[in-house]
Order: sequence, then structure tokens, then C-alpha cells
Amino acid sequence: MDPNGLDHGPSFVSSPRASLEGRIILGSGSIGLNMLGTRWKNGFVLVGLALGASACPDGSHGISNTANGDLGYVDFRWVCTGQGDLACEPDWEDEFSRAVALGSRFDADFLLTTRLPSELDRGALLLSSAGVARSIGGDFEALEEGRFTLMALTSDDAVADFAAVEVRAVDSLRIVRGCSTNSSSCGRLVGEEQALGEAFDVRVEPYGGDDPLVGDLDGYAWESLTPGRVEISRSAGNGARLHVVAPGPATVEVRLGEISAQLHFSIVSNDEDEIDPSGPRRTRPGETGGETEGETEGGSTGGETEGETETDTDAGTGTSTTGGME
Amino acid sequence: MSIRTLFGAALLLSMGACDESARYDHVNMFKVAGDVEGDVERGMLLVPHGGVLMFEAKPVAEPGRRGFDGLERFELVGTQPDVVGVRRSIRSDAWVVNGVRPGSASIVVELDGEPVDTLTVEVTAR
Repeated sequence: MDPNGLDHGPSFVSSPRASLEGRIILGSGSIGLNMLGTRWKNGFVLVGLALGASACPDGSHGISNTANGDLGYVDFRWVCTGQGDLACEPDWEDEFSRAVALGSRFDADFLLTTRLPSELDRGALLLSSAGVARSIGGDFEALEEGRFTLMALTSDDAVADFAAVEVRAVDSLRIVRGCSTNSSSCGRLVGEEQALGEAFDVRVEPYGGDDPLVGDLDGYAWESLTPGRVEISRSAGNGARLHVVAPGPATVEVRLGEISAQLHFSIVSNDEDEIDPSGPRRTRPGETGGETEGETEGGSTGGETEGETETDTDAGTGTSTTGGME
Repeated sequence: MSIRTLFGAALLLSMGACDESARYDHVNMFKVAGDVEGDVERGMLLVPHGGVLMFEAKPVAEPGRRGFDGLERFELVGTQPDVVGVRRSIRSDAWVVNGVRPGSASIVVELDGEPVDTLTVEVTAR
């Protein structure tokens, strides 16, 4: 238990050496508690208690209640670096993939957790190695396949925590629902049937093995392989907006270099009832099926942007909607 | 040999026997956390390229002398930051090395600002 009354688990100030330096309790001061008189010690204890009592454990002051660092002291987060980065997606705010796409730009940040004394201030974020990734223009760039470690420092350059990350080449792509029109369907599989007249957003997620890869990748190319039935009104970064204009089977393809994925679905008449807009939940490779949560894009008010009806019928298993790899 | 000389010699011997101040012998290290490929082996630190090794390090005094009391300033100073990074951890007595690129590097052990030893770090290729 430190003077703040916080139980840190592992010792931060238990040894006289640490106390002498006062690195934890006194921040950057070089005068140790052991060198101070009892009256001064009591004073610091009172100040510490006051600071501890005023600390905000809800994260509103940049403190996290959760941790994903190896030591459990830091919560690492990916930072959005561009329109082709999964870290920009609303449904990825709480995700921390341990894999970055080769050739991408990426950025990360971290919060100290409530396990640490509140006097500790956040410092810089470092990458452990040269070669695998490098700092470029305020972001980082994944240069070659391999592994690096994110190192979270305190304001006095002590290592608070770390997390290993792999750089992997993209070996597959998956097409899922985009987030721009309705966040409730973010990341879900696209339904096997789409109602005529719809417009909906899709995005592509790069994978390396079984893991989704963060980092901003340029060069996604979207194409309708059935241009008479589905049209791509706009595409940017990893996303595209599809307009369903004629009934029948439809296919949309996205390419990234030599890798591509196709989205197959059927366009059906609007006459049909029981249209489920959301499609099944997002699945990862190896998972099967998807549940349907029956949300309707546009909400119960029936309002819809651009006069289009955004609906998406249930895919059932969802296995045919993830895009077959070529 | 006079009694005075004998007395002086005995006094010097007794003064030497009473000199129990800690004198550095080696540093005791063991792995705390980090990459599975990282380790402390026979006083040498092993860390993979791109990985980190967190270890606890404490100076040990020569046998027969009083041990270190922790009031001394103990530092590990990296000499080749292009090969290995060396930083103190927020945990007491714990340090972190990170493998910047494959190769060997040395770390200087300092006690109260004086270099007393050199450690070897091997950054291994994956």
C-alpha cells in the first residue's frame, strides 16, 4: 500500500532504492522519502491522500479501467490514420488487434490504468525495433514482416508497459457492412438478398492469417461485376456505397494488389415482406453462421437519407457473403 | 620489533577487519516478463529482435562484506542504442531492454555514478 492508499499489486516503492529516487511517489524529484524527516513524510502522505481522493477512475482524465498491456498497467489503442484503416471504424474503438498490415501506416496511443499511482504521468510511445517498422511523419510505417513491441513510457522515461505486435502481409480480404449509414450494422456480414432500390455501405477488412490487420492501406479498388444490377456510387479508403438497381444475382469485387474478394448477393423485389436490414453479426474466419438482430436501417420512423430504402435481408449462414477469394 | 611497532601493526589489522563497507562483486538478475525468447543466462541478457526483456537487477557485494543497503544509486547504462535500448521500469529494481537490431551490445553497471561492471546483451534474430 503506498501513501495514496492504492494497492498496486507489485511493488513500485517497496525498496529503499526506489524510495530514495522518489520516482513514483514524487514524480521527477530526486529527493527520497527516506531522506526526509517524519514531518515531511506525513506531509507527503497527506498530499498523496488528497490527490488520490481527487483522482478520477472513470477515464475522464485519460485513465483507463481496462488494460491490454502485458503487465496490466496500460491500455493500448490504435489511432485512426486514414480512410483505409480499420482503426477508424466506430466498431473498432475498443479493439486492439496484435497485427498490423505490411506496408500500412499506423499509429497507437495508450492510457495508464487505475492500477498505477495517479501521480504517474503518461510519456512517449516507442517502438522496440528498427527495420520492422519506423516512425514517419508522426505515424509509423510497417516496413517488413516481423514483430515489434509497443513500449509505453511515463513522463520520466520509465517503461510502464509493453505489447508485442506482428507485422503481417495481407493474405485475404473480407467484405462486410460499412458504418457510415447505420452504426448498428457495422462489421456485419452482408445479407444474401438485397431489396431492389436499396443503397448500402460496405467496407473491406484485410486479414493476415486469422487476424484482422490494422493500418491504413491505399489502393483498394472496387468494381461491380454486374453493373446493370448494382452500381458503386462512391468509394474511398476501405469503403464503398452500393446501389441496387435491378433484380437478379449481383457481384461486387474489391482488389488490393493481387488479392481480391467478391461479394455475391441476390437482388429481390421490394414487394417481399420480412426484410431484415442488418444481416448477421460480424464473423471471423473459422466461425460459422451469424445471428440476426432485426435492426432496420432508417429506424422505426421510416426516415431514410437520399430517399433510398436501406434494407438487407438475412443471409442465414452468411458463408456466401464474405467474398470468395480468387 | 618494538612493542610500539607491534601495537601499530595490530591497530592497522583491526582497522582493516572493521572495514565492512559494501564492495561490488556482481549484479544479480532474473527475468520478470517480456518476450518468451528473452532470458537471462549466466549473467548475459538475451532479447530477440523487436522483443523486450524485463528483468530485476540488484547489485551484490563481495562475500564477507556488508551487503548493499539500497541507498546507493544503481544504474544500467546502455552504450549502443542502435542495437539495444535500456530503460528503467516503473517497478522497483526492474529494467527493460529492447532489441533494436540483431547484434551484441554492452551495458555499463554504475554504482553511485562509478562504472563497476559491464554486462553483455545479445539481440537475436527471429
